[in-house]
Amino acid sequence: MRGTVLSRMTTEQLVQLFAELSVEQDRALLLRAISKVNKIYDKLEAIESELKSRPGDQRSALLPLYNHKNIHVRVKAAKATLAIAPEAARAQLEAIRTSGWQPQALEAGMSLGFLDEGIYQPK
Amino acid sequence: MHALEEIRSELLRLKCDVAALWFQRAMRRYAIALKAGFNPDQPRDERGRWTDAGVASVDGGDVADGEVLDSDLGELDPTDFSDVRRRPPNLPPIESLSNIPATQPKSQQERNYIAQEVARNVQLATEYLSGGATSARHWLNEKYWEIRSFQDAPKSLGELHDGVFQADKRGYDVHHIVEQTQARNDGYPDKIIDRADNLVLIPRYKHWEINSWFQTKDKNLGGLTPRQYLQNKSWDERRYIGLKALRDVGVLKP
Repeated sequence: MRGTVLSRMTTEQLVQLFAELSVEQDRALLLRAISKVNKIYDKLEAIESELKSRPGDQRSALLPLYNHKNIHVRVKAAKATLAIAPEAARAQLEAIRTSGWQPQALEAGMSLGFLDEGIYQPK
Repeated sequence: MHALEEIRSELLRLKCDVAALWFQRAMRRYAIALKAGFNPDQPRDERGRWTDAGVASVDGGDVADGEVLDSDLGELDPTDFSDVRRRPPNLPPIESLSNIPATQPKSQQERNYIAQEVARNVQLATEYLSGGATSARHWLNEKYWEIRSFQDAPKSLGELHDGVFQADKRGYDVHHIVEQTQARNDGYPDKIIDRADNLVLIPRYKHWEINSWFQTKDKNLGGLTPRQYLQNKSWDERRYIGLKALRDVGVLKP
């Protein structure tokens, strides 16, 4: 996959990659490999931007990831879809926060806080 | 009654002073150690000794407790997706106690990874803590106190403050509600940073979760880490975020 250009990938492939990278980020978090976690963040952002730029804003293709087995994938999908499905995304984050599963509950809870405080406005 | 309150107040003040002195002494020692390349945020064992799960960053910046630098991965181009399947040490998800390797993994990083997988899964943790499927000599028992403390129910802020003075701290760390390194870099004096009302005793692995979160880029902060976001912010704002993190990680009662 070396040299893969996101714009040449199908939406389905991008969603698959988003999920795989999120799982990888979850593992890196457990290993406390923070610089790797942050590098994966950049990649997830790149995928999200690519999906957003496609006709009809294809970030909606991430919505099925709310049902992914890995809770970290669900957090990332919820945060990436706050602008296009605010109620569903918030409900997803709230469910993860109350699950108490760490560190995703921490990320979901803080995310909701930033939204409520107006620090973050989804675009 | 009034006299009793005065004595109680004096006792609290003395406790604060002792804690402050203890930390000032420790910080002086760590300042010397820093010159040798050590990291003051590196995790400690129950006797206060540094464990080998954390290392100092090359550039002198902060590294999460328990973080192991992944410099062996090299510089990654954020637009290069070829390394998707590049993994840290090939560890399987721990979905049952039978997934735990019988022989002790060599690195502290791997041992902590497995222990945290057990700790954050209530079913697995309960099974492990009740002695199921692991012998008394199993290597995972070195992480017994971390796994056990992770199961603590949320406590009041007063209880978390009081914990700092308890003698047995196995599985726990003293945590600064307002991050110490960043506050120090921003010019806050030690007497404020190490004040008793900024110190709480929390489960070690939850301490690591919070420290990691503070260093992780966040979409909600425009790609900044919370630590970067809080730079130059007021003490109250930092404390607000610090307390919210304690709540969301399940340490502080809502």
